[in-house]
Amino acid sequence: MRESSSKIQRRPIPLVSTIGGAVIQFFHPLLHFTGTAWVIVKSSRLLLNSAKRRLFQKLFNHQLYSTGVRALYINVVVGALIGVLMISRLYDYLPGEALENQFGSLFVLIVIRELGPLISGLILIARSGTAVTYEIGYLQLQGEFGVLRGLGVNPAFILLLPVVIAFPVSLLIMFIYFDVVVFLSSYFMIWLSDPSARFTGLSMAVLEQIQNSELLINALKAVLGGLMIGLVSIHFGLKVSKDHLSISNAISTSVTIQLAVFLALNVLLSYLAYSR
Amino acid sequence: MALIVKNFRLEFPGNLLFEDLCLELPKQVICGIEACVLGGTTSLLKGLAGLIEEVTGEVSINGVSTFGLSERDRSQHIAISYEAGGLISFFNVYQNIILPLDYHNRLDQDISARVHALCEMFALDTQLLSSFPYDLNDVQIRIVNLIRALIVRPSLCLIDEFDGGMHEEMIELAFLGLKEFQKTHATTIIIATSQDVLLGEMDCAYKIEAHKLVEFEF
Repeated sequence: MRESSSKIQRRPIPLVSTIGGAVIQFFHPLLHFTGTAWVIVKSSRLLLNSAKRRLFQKLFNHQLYSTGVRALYINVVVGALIGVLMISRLYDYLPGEALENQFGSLFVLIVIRELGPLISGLILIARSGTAVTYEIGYLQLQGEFGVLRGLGVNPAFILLLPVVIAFPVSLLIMFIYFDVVVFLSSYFMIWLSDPSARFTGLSMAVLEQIQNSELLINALKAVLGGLMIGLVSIHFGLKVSKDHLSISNAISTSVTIQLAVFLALNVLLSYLAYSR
Repeated sequence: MALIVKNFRLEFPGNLLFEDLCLELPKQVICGIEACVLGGTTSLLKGLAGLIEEVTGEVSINGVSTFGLSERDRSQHIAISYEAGGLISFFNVYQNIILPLDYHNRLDQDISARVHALCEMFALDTQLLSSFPYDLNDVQIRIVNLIRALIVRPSLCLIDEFDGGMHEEMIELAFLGLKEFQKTHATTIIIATSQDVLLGEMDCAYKIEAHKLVEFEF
């Protein structure tokens, strides 16, 4: 049995309520975001149950396929173009042999450290972040979260947790696609101007330059970036309330924030890890 | 009595919806609540299901309070079928229907037969089981929602806006389906509807008046 709380009439104090209101208004989005993240984290305890884990696996696979695997074609197109552009530009500044000698360090410096994470993140935001914000917004608009709760099903576990876990994994997969495709298109460009350039030689030159720090920072960029993109997409999707217009507003705000935070995160991590 | 509601009170800021509402329903009863725009029927159904924090009072089904139920217990005792939506877009119809059972690891060997029997009961073409929610029209979505609510064989089934968008023949067919379901399952069903004809068919009918439920007869 639930008891109704007694109501005590209090006279509002204008200054205190104004300041309090402003503080609440300032921190409210942050509190809402933290609350969303907490609800999702809390739902992850259901993974301890084998039946729910099996169901989660299905949902996770679906999300990973949509976000990570189906992003292959756009990563290939963008990666191929970047490889072509990068090598053609570098040939303007470095003679052919010098470029081949420096290829390993230049590739790690430009592609693996910076362009790979950055462009993959931008593709994830544009392709999947917007889709998730729309999907969650639509579910919210249709009241599907309430329906699932009414059936004793945790909506955060079914609809949100798969996104939050699949996004970082997808981003990591996208880094790999991107780096491999840029390498292949770069090699193709080098081979066009110098058919004697050896594929294995250039591959080894790149692999020799990759250090643990690059792997660690890229993994961090994928985990933090993917989590942030997923959570922000969900957060704004859940804020959809009344009409379809609020979905487009949610997508617009979500993408703006994701771009700003993701770029800042990349710059910060690169600065902390690679600056001397 | 299967469903006992005592001193039910629901107030949102500046909007008192129900106060001192009492209701008692036996098992295997279909009870109608006359729905009107912004009348609070959806909130009442959610409140009875224990889904609204603001509710005070007492609601119990077969002696079990609906407030503070665990997810698993809720899925066993209560099912709610809403007016619209409610289906997960990337699951097909069959997966959507069995979701509450799959989620709680309560899938039986005969689950497929159960789903097909319910489809037959509500005249839903079984070919649609492999379709996705976006392939269905509004009425089919509503029927699938209803089947998903009934598949768990709940003690209390709450159905919001049962008839919206359905033509008379379909309403009759779906209602007969519910009666058929009740022959074999001791489910108490509450239906919110604006159809007078349908209210007249039910075991009892109530309307919301002065924040309470008042029984009336056709």
